[in-house]
Amino acid sequence: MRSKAPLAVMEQLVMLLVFALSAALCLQVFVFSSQTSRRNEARDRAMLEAQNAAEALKSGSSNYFSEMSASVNGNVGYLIAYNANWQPVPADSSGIAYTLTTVETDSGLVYLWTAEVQVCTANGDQLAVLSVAGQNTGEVAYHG
Amino acid sequence: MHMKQTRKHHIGSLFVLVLICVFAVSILAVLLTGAESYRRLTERDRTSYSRRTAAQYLSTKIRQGDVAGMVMTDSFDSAVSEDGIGAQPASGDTLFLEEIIDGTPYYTRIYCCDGYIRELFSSADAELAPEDGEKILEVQSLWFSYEPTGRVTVEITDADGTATRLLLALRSGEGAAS
Repeated sequence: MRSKAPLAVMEQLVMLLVFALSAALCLQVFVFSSQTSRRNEARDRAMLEAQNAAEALKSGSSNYFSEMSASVNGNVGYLIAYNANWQPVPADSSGIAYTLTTVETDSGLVYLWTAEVQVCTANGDQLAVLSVAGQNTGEVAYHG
Repeated sequence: MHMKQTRKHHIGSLFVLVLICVFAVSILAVLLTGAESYRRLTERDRTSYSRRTAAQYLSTKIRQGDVAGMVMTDSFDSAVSEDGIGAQPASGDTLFLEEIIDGTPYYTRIYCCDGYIRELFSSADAELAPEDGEKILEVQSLWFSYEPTGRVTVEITDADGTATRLLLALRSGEGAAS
């Protein structure tokens, strides 16, 4: 009588092959979902930081930007650099993971200032963008 | 001859057994990886939700109560008089939002007690303890501070110990916190 072992081995090998293909797909989905979740978390945080910067611009005070070690972004705004834990770091330091920039934009109106707050990763991938506007009178002006 | 065949048969069975074990271990590894991935994902989402909700809740409450001179920060048990809470400190663990109803001042207090953001609405002279407030969201601590320019800063430390800073420029301007 011939042994049935080779047949069983073949069956097992086919099973393993099918399983390996399914597992590869599953792992791909796990990695993708993890990346999406990380990106969403970063976007959440980026939006919060953008809102804070927008509020600071609206208040007309530059104290917030000084506290956040912001550097002047040309003559048109501020630049805040963050490390991977969203702690502000000097713009010329190493380990910068995210950057927030405020750029003054042209509103086309004399009494209205407008600006754009943008948060990007160190690779330049945009996470959040906010447009800010305010009345351009006296001290309540854009201090970019 | 017969012995050789029996040995071959045993080796074949052993190989099948080993393959079944490899299969079982692989299934377990993929399942564990999936479970771990899902756990991390939900934990991250929960932290984000908690941080975002706390920030949005506080931001909405301050915006709703943004009336000149009606937004204040102090300690919970600060003496609240009929004329207001007196000298405005630069920071405190409680946010006071004042409303005048039929000529009587009422306060909405927002503060942290027993690991929760709590909200308490009462008249100025009501003697209530921090535990009486309504539980809103789980956090470790809350701290409010303001600048004379009308800028309110809220430091939120969530249940995981992550600190978040929320900045709000009061639309009612400098008078809001005086």
